[in-house]
Formats: sequence, C-alpha cells, structure tokens
Amino acid sequence: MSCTDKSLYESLQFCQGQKVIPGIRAHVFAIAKRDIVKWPELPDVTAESVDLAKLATYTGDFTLVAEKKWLKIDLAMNKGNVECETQGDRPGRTFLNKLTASYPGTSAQATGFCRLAIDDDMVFLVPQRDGQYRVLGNEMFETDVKPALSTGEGIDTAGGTNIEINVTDICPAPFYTGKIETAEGNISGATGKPVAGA
Amino acid sequence: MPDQQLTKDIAAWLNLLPEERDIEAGALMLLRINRNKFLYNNIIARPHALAPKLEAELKKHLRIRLDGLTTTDVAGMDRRVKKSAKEIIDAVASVTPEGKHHGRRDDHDQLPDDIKAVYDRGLELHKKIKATFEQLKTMDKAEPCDRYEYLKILDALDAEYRRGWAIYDNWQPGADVPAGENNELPDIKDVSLARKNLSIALRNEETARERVDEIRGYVATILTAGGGFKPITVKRLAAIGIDIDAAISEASAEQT
Repeated sequence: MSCTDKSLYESLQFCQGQKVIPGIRAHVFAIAKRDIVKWPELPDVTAESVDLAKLATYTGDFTLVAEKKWLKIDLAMNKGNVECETQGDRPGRTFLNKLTASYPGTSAQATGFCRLAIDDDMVFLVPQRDGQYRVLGNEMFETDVKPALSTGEGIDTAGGTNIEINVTDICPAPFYTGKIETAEGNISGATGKPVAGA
Repeated sequence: MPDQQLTKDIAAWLNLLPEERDIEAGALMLLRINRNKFLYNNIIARPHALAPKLEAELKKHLRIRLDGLTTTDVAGMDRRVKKSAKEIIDAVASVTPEGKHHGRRDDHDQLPDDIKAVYDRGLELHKKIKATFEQLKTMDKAEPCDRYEYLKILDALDAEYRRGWAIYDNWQPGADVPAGENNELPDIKDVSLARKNLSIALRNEETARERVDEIRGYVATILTAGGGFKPITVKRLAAIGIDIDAAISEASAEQT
C-alpha cells in the first residue's frame, strides 16, 4: 500500500491594506439535523481538484425536508464570535467549533426554543460580517446546544438568552456557499444576498 | 400549505418522458417528502428497476399536494376523520342535548319531501361511512398517504352526514328548504368497482381499445377520488391512447 504523495499546501498571502472586519452579523440560521435530507459535501483531502480554500468549503446545497426552512434567530448587536479550537491527539485530532449566540430577550418563545434545543441535534449557519456563511454542525458529530437565560438585574444590566453551541468537526467552521432556504426566500451562503428561484 | 415550488417541480418531472427524467432528482424530491432514506438509496442504486416505483410514489404525493395538503396534514386528517367517523358509527339516535341528532322526528311524515329525503340520505350515508371505515381498518398498516383516497371519501361522507342531520334536526315549519348538497366525490364502492372494471377491461388490449370511453369513465372516477395508478396500469392505458400524465397535468395546471 502506498500513500498518495499529494501536497495541497499553498502560500498564505495577506496583502497590506486588506481589511478583515471582525464579528458576525446580527442573526444566525438554525435547523434540526433530522430536517436535512441531503448534505452538501466537504471535499476529502484526497479528492481531485481541491485546494486549500475548497478543503474548507462545502460543495452543493443543503436539501431540506419538504416545507421545512432554515429558522432565523436574531442576535444582539455586536455579540458573538465563532471560535475553533484544536482538540484530541494525533492522528485523531479534530476541531471544537463554538459560538455563543445571544438572543436579546427572554420571551416565552425564546424560552420554548431553549427547552427543545437542549436535547436536539441542530445545525447552524453563521454569517461573517462579509456575508459568507459558516457551518456549525455536521453529519459525523452531534451538536451540543446549551442555552442559558438571564433576565438581567437592576436597572442597567441587560438580560437575554445565550445559546452556547459546541460541535466537533474535522474542519474549523467550514464555509457554505450554497442556497439557504428561509421563510423570506432563498439567500446565497457565499454572499448573504437573495438568490432567485428554487 | 405545501411548498408550491416543490409541487411544480414534481409535476414538471412527471411531465417529462421517462427517458428524459433525472432519476436522482426525482428520488431526492421523494426523499424530501417521505424522508425514506432506505428507498432513496435503493432507487439511486437501481434507477432503472425502481423508476416505475418512483413515478408511482411521486404521482401519489402530487395528488395530495394538489389538494393543498402535506403528508403531515394527511396524517392529521387520518386521525381526525377516523375519530369523527367512529363517533358517527358508535352514536345511537336518542333525544339528547344539542350536538347529537335526535333520530326520526315525531312530525317526520308532515315534513316537506326535501327534508324527509335528508333523513333517508342520512341512513344511506351511515352505511357508506361504516363501509369506508371498515375498509380503512384493513389498511391500518399502510401509511396515511396510501390511505388518502379513502380518507378523502370518508371525510366528505362525514361532512355531508353531519350537515344533513343539522338540517333535519333544526328545520322548523315555515323555514326555507335548504338547497341539496352535491357530494362530488364517488363513494368507496364506486371507486372499488371502477378499479375492478378497469382491471378487467385492460386484460386484453384489443377489446380495451373498443371500450376506451368506458375506461375513461373508470379512470375519471378513480382520479376524482384522489386515487392513483400502478405503472403497469399507466402503460396499458397509454397503449390504448389514454394519457394519465396529461390528466394529472391538467389538474396541476389548474391548481398551480
């Protein structure tokens, strides 16, 4: 047996003057994993015609159960960041992808969401500031959702619902450039902009 | 409400000639509806062998979606309609608080003929409801969407039955006689008979050609009840010039 002598490494250039805008946009999309009937594909390192960018990007679209859509969760302004940590030992190292999504409120609806989500396996799409969506959740590992709720205190401490998301993955929060089917229409995971048609 | 785009996509797929159809796309549409990964994987692994099965399943679901229902709605309809029909079958006519029918009125013989006819129709409907309910019991192991044809019939019979008794029980001398309700759906016996006659008629292609109009009638009865056809039946109908796909397409064009 011989191992494939394939090297995908490239130079990682950063151009002077290039802007990197921090944070995420003020919403995420969520869906129960059982409502996804077909996943897009994350290329394997041995696949043909892959490069560094393609290794970190899903190819294709999520196909959802009929009449199901990605659910929008609005977030508090300027809160939340996607973090990815390495975990485990070689050769089984993986990433722990994390986000704490802060919903600004503790309504009955938000509370009901928390009640369901703690025992569910969900997938989240998180938009960077530039509109590119990243995926928290995958077919291999269950997503751990830990909601926490606070009413706030006194007259100046804000309350809200924090949804802590942790999921093991083989890639740090992969990009998703396919179609996102929402109740308000379809949007592109690559740009965050609406796309026409099915 | 069903996703209109998916309904259109299914209709468009079924409108294509079999050799033009993308089996994987069709299988994915079916997977989105029934979540049956096992069937999906089998269709992908054996596309030619299972293409007829895929077509039959999509046609079945298209009929349901054209009626404005999803599989979840049909499951809910299954529970509701069977419960309601059971109430009718178990109910005993008596002088009871409002909500139950009171049986034959003491002044029945003095009632207008149209109101008396409602009572007679109610007796007939009770028998039909019981027959359809029993038929559904034999299909207990089938999925709700496979029982849809009979659920639709039972629902319509139930509604007409209850309306009729409301009219009969509440009619007062001097009131207008309500216009007769037309139950447009064929009852279960008509559908069963149509299927039986169709099967006999299609045994021989030559004689079937001579009975095309009669066969069209059987097909119309089955389609009106929300029923579908096995691929082999569709093929035999096509051989004598009856295009089931066109009939379904017309229905989909009207409703989408």
